[in-house]
Amino acid sequence: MSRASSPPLPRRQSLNGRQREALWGYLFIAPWLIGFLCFVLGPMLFSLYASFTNYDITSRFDWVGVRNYVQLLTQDSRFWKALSNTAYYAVFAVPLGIATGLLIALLLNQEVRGQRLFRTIFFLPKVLTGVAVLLLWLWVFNPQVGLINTALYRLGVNENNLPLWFSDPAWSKPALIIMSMWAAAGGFMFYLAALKGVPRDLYESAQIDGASPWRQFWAVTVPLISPVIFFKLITGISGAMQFWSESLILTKGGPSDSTLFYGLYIWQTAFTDLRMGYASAMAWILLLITLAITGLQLWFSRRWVHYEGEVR
Amino acid sequence: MKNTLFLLTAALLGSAGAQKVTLDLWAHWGSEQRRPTINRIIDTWNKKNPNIQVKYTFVPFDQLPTKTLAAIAAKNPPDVVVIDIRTTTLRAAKNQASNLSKLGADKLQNQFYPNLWSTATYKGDQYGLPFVTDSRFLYYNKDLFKEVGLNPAKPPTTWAELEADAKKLDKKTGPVYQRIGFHPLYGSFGLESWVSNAGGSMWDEDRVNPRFANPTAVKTLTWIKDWTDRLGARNVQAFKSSFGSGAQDPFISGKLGMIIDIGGYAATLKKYAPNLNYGMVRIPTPTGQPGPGTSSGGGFNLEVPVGTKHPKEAFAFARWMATEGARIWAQEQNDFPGAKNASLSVTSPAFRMMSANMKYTEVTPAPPYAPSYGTLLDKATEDTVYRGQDPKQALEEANTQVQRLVNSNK
Amino acid sequence: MALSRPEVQVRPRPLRTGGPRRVGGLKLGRLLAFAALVALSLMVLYPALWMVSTSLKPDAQVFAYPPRWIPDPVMWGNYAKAWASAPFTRYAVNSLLYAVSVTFGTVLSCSLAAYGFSKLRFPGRDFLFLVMLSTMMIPGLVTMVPQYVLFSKLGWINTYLPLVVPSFFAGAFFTFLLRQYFMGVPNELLEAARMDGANELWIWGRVMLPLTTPALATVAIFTFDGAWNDYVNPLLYLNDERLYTLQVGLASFRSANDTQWQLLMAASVLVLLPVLLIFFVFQKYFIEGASLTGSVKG
Repeated sequence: MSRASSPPLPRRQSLNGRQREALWGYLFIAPWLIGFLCFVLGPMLFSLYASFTNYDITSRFDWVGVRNYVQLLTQDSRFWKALSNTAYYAVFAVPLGIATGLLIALLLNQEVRGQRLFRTIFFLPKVLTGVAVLLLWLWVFNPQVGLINTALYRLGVNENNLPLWFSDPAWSKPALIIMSMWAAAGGFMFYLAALKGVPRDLYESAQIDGASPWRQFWAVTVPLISPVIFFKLITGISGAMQFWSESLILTKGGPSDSTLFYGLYIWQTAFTDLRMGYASAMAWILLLITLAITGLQLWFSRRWVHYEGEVR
Repeated sequence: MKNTLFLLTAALLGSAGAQKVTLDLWAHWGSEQRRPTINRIIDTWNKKNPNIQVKYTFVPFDQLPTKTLAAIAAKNPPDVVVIDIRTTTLRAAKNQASNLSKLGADKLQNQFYPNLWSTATYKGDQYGLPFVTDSRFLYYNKDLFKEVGLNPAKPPTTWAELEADAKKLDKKTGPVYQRIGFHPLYGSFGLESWVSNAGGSMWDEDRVNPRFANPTAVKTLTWIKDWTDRLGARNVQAFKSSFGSGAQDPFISGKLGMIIDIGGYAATLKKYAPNLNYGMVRIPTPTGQPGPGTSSGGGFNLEVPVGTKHPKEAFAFARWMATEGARIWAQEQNDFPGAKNASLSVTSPAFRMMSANMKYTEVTPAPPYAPSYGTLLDKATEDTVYRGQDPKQALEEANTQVQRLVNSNK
Repeated sequence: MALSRPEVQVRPRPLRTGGPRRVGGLKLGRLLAFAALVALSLMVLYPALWMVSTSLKPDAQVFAYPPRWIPDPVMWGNYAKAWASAPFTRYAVNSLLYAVSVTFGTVLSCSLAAYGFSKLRFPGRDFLFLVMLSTMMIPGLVTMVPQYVLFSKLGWINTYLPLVVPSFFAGAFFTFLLRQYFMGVPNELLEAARMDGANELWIWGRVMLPLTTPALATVAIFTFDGAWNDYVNPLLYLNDERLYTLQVGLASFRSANDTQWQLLMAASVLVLLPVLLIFFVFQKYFIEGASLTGSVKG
């Protein structure tokens, strides 16, 4: 696709530089824009409309105004439960996931022996997906013979204080968060690709300047990989807000609704109860919440995200 | 390109001959163990019916409902689908399953077990044909019975005996249970099943409005709670979560003296624990006398989705599949067929037990207005049993929530 | 051409003495990093090893309690049995074609869109970018049915079109990721090419892409892996078993009441090995293929 010959631009002569740049801009984003208009926008608007109806996919589709929204916000206690479970999950899983991936990337960037093997091992969590792997986690968190509790027991935790993980409403979310950190290990690649872009001479000059490794990290590394951290923050939050399939397979929302996440509640409402209208209202509320958080992030990103070649 | 040509020729040939149709059948049988049987059934039909050819597609269990739903929504569904027995009335109410009474299904009624037939009856009409079902039994470890001085020939028949035997089977070193005799919530028998077992119900007559806090339910939940308190809620949960995934089996490993599971569990035991000395009996009831809800079952119905281009042919095949096909299935697989005659040719002890147990087995369809009630009921159960909530109060709370769901869905 | 330095505020300080100490510190640092990596790898490997262990067990040991790590006897035959129990070779070909085409489409279209969003100015850019981000934030559960109906109206059901075509239209996730990397490329490099009269497509292909190969490779491997492991979408859109993929094949070991654990695990190992192998062989290019420090002849 890297054809060097330039495609003819319409009325090139009459365009000034700005206009030409804008035209190129639209051409470049055209793949996204066309795809958005053809495949994404329609279904999204459909679900927006459906959120004001009693849509059940197959038998009814009547306008009910804002009833779904009113019911969600004023009567549905499980909606709030699901929202708070999801917030809990996102608050821990997103930063811990970023920290995990970043830590591994930094360690791998130290040019230790066995690079290739280590990288492959840490890529493993990305490849190991699916139901079979999720069920392996039940072994890991098995309260009696699982890896984690065995380790805790060896460390001297009393048998009666060992967490019951997926059986205990207080520990079920932490268990899922630990799982998410494991999965996030594979994210090291994002950071490593960015770290490889940090010119080595920058470190050298920082070292000569006498900066401690800690200071080098904050002054050189973080600014340079901040675009990727920012990316992981935005997509991580968006992903965590929609987290559901793991909890469906492992805990089915239990015990006592402690893993009833927002996405799982949408799933249950849409596909078990067939209340697609109501589920669509939930989805749009989630979209608005996520968008608001993203807006804030974008605002704050001006302060800490460093783009070497930003075009404003 | 070759394919297109082939299809084109096939289409031309098809239109040249009699109205030859091809039916799509979707079901969740894909394993090495299941596939030969379904292939045999389809081949048998296809040989007999050159004008109605059936094409089978394996769709994994967890994706079948959503895939079918999407296909129905797009008005391009399969012609016959094998799908969860408990939600047929929901699909009938939602205009997803075809009304088979209009195609002449009603006259088939007496060929099927009545408890299964009724799972697909909605407002007097029939929307599905029962294909396979199961029934639950109490499995007990005879060697462990002997070890603790119980008579392996005398398994429990009442709740009191069940509890007494279970107590003897409990084995404890210090505060930790090495073995638990039995717990009502281990295995695949939940609160609702126990309430039916005690002769009660969680619903009003029409199975529309919840009656969760009725006296039988409260009593049953209290019984489970007391049982749990005796063992210690923490012990019960630790035990349960150690065996929660299906990748572990406490009965096989001798950590549980008795467990309730479906009839097909006998085949699992044969495969994974060929040397286990166990017995398989009817589930104990409060009085020792069996009733229509002593055991519970699930299974799969054959449905013809709304929107099929060939409803008549689809029904013809579904009808044959539910009777003759079920006979082949029963001979080769461990599932119990919904058609009465189809089970007769199989003489294995487990099958004969299931056959005898059918009249004591309740298959409860999910109420069409609150299909997700189970999660709310589970929460009430867990809150009571493990976390000290009052049984009546927990059930009343769940009732309120389910009632709200029913009202907004009606 | 020299690269501009990021503005790093490291105040000049007098040179520290004790060079040898720093070298020693460096060695110690590497040793510590190595130890930490070993510890972390063990955690990552644990579930994978359990998977391999289960895949080699005879029936009767799958449920052994307490669980045992080393099966006796070791059932190597499980692997052959698992592979033979469904048309896995056909599935593998399908998975490969699916993953390769989606990877190609994603890398191509996302890098184009990302270039537009990061390096070109046009009215409405920031708004459209936010619109793009918002498409990530709506749960797919509520758009699934209308999307299916749409593809059905196009006559695309039971083909790979609904799975592959959208990947040529720049998904939000990877476009966003590439935009972030692209914004790290100094504008001077592009300006120099523009001065020489190059058009934007040329700059995208000859300047931007070569400079960001680690990022592109990261997108490629994640996309490939995502498609390879995709279970839900192929199942939703494909009705013909001959078109099924490996992940659907894996599901055939699971059923409502009886899961063949050892075969499921054996097949899972076989399915993940190719991706791991590809990664192991090509990772050098993924991560070290290029970096901004490399010489750039714009």
